Amino acid sequence: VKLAGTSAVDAPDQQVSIETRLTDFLRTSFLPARASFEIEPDTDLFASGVVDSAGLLAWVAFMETEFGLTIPDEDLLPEHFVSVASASAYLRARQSVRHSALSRSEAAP
Amino acid sequence: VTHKCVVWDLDHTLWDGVCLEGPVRLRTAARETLRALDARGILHAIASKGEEEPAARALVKLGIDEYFVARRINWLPKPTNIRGVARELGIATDTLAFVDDDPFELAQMSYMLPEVTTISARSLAEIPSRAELQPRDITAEARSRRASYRAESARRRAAASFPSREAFLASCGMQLRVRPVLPEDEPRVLELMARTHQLNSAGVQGDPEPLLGRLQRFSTGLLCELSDRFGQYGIVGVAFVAQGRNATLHYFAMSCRILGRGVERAFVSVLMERLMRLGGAELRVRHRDTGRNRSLRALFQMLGFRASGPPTGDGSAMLICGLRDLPDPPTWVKCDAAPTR
Repeated sequence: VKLAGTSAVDAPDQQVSIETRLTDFLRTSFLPARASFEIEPDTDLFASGVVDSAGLLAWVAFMETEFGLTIPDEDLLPEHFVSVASASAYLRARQSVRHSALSRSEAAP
Repeated sequence: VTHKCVVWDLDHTLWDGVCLEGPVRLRTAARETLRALDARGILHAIASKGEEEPAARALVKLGIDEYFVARRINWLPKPTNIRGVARELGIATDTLAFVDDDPFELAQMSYMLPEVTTISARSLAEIPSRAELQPRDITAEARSRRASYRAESARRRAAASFPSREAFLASCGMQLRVRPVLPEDEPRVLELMARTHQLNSAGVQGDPEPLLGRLQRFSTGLLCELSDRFGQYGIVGVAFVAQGRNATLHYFAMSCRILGRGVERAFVSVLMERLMRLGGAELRVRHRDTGRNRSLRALFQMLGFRASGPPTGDGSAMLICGLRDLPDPPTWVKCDAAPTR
């Protein structure tokens, strides 16, 4: 028996990468609707003028909602948010900390 | 707090009649109210049910279309539209007043967005005398505020055709002039201190005049003026600094109107360079968390500042940065600093 729609079941939201979700938000929020250029993973978002200090906060608020975490003020640093690649790495690191904390608490007797 | 923008309903509020049903007539005192608030630097916008085209024609016919810097004429809920207006103008929703004839719309606004001041359209003539619509000083910047918001929307429309955002920003020909605060600048400096919330290191508690007096006694005031090919924005930022080996930025405020183009990075870069030339080895900034000025902390941290420790009891953090490796200012802002004294 062939299961119909297996691929849809196998393609939950996680299939849309963190990078794509971040890039889509930045494109729709900070670039004109028909921009003739793209945000690459390593584009310096500040030097290229895509994000400024107010834009960074809108972007951080999006990440907090989208990925269900709180980004503390002291983490608002260039090494974390200068590009889509660095922000993705930051989010993955934060999520893996949370997951390991969760699995530890589940494993506890 | 003085409100920055009045958002108007149209049918039965600004005019008698329903635009989609036939000709409309401007209500008593509507024109005078629009003019009086505009002259004070208070913006006008529209959030109204209806259709854009016929309403736009009526606004032109009545000779009042020039007053409105943002319009939302559609069938979406008005709180949604008012949020859109705030976003478009780059101002917070608690600096908006909303005028409508329909008690339901007023109640819905208070329910959805309690920070928005609601005003019944019963008497338009009384609106200009409301306390929240009295700016303390009417500066040159205030008088030309509407023109610069309209220039800003022209700028946004122009943005789509460039090969990169940098190329677009470079095409704007931004010039930032940094110079000492002079006595005649004080009304505008006070206005900036009172009106800015996001990029404000201290927040605003009532009258900024005593704070300005204190700052002037022990530090040097520097301000920045912005212009681009769309026009003059006037004085858009102010900083109070104490030079020395351990230099301190005692106060920093920048207009939220010019956010989104990297000008704040340019201003801080110029300040850092100046303090370095005056013998500074490091620069400290006190950031008092007001709940609304997180972008100030983000700005300084992105420029290389780091908190010196956990926040103190009043929620302030000291941010410190060495002045040996200065950040690169944005390539698209031409900075012109008055010579160091």
